[in-house]
Amino acid sequence: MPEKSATYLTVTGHRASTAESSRTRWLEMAIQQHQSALIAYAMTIVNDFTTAQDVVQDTFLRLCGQPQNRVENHLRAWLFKVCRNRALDHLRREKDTDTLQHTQWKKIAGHGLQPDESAQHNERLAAMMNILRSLPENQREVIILKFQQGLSYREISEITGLKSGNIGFLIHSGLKHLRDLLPADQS
Amino acid sequence: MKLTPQDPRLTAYHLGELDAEEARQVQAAIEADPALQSAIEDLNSTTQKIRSSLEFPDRSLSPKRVQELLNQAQARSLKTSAPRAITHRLAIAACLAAIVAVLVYFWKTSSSDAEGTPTTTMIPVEKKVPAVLMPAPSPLDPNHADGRHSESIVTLPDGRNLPELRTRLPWLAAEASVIQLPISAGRASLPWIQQAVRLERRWPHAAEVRLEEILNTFALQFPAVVAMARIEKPAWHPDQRPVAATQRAAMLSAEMIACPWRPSSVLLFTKLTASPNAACEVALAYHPNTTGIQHIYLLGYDLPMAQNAMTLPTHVPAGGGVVLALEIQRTTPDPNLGQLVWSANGEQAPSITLQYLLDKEPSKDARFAAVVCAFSIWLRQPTHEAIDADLVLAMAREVSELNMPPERADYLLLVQQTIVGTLPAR
Repeated sequence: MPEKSATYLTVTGHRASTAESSRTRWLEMAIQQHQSALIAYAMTIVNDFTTAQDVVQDTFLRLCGQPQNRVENHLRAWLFKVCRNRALDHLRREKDTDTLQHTQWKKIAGHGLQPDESAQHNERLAAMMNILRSLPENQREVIILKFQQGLSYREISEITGLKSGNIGFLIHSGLKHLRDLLPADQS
Repeated sequence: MKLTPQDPRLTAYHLGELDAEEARQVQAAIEADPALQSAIEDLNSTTQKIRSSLEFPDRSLSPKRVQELLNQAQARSLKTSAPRAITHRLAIAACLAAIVAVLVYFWKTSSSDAEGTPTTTMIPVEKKVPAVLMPAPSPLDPNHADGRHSESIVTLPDGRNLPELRTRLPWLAAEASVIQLPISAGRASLPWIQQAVRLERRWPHAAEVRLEEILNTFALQFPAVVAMARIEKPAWHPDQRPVAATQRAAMLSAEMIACPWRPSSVLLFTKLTASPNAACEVALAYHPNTTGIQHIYLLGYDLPMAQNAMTLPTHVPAGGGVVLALEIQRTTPDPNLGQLVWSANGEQAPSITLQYLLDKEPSKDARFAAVVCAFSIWLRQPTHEAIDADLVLAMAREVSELNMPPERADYLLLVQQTIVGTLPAR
């Protein structure tokens, strides 16, 4: 095929073969498509925008080292799984004296939100995070993955290692609990 | 199915996590029970509150971080591909040496035959362009009129030296009851366009743009309607007794979609494929329904200026074939667009009746093929009455998706680079 030996400039100005260019483009598309969701997810764990960016950059860096055909069929779940592990690693390094379960969620309530966020949004997110703190950590995690990120039970299972049936039960009972805690006028 | 409002299946149903059969049963149970309906309303309200509270603003990595990532990716890619690149270069050098040796041999032979008068015409070649592996010229070249494609390593000649082409005129349906269709196409055009846009930063010359060649670069499937031509299996018995069995000789498939640039038209895509085991002789014709159709355009297959008609080849090599695109301009909404009639090795094959169903979802391949057609037509005719840059970009955006084959993604990138890139004014 002609494409294999053709060389040309990529959008970022590099001279590359088609295979290299196609891989770079794939990476660009992955970044474009998932960066926002991953930053939001990392924020719920590390609660700091710059750290969340570090975590997400590290996640994409790991994607660079993966063969495309090994991850492209479950890219979203793979990215969230790596992002979660990188974020938890960061917390471990930061607070190595605390237990993981303690550090994992202790900063989740909205302290590190950016100044350019609307006050109303901050307030609402902080209130929700406070409510979520009343749930066990695995339940909190599946609820964030389901309702913030819109992931399926199968993807959540791949990320957290929990079984689909268990995820269904955690979400069901979590919703029941949250229904009683959420203020009536919040919608 | 018996359900209570506390059943986790109700939540799973609400979140779309049940399979179709279970979802149907839960749906039936909900319709029959007001308590379940109220539970679903509760769930709906709770999940809406959670979703809206957890909504996050659009955040991006800084451009510097993205650039760092892409540089890292590039570095890793070069590191891993270096040994392969060296092998490739050695292989290309060896092939070039072999080709030069063969050319020198033939040149010497023909020179001596013609009493010292060289008969070879040298094609002017741009020395700076990279060597690429290219198929032979399209079947318009009389030397390759049988549709066979040989592959050789050549450098891309300057597109300005290609023969001028003129756009093929449409058939008037009232006058053309049988339209013979080509069964072969080259693959040469796309590298020319890539070279023009990406390396030379210029608009491709009209003669470099051959729609049918670009379309046939991609592996496209149109399985909406399929017909198969079967032929007798060759006798294997020593006394040549017939084996009373048949084998597939060729397959013809077709799909029709609404024409994105002319609402009254239908785009017909056909794909002819010969069996991978044996070549065959194929004749393919379109018999339009003459009452509801005005014009029929065969997209691509433009003719050289000096040529009035194209001799159609009939030979399809084993595994070979062609994808064709026709624009059918209708005057009435009659779904009957006529028939594709064809034969393989002289045997009549089952014809395909073309029924255009308006509500049928077009396949991804057909939508991609439509982008290829629109972009090629626009490149050839920038002042086309119905296709402009905005339409081509919109069509490209519509078919773009994350996990598309790399060659298609690369093509869409080429469309984008051509239209919104840094090419000089046309």
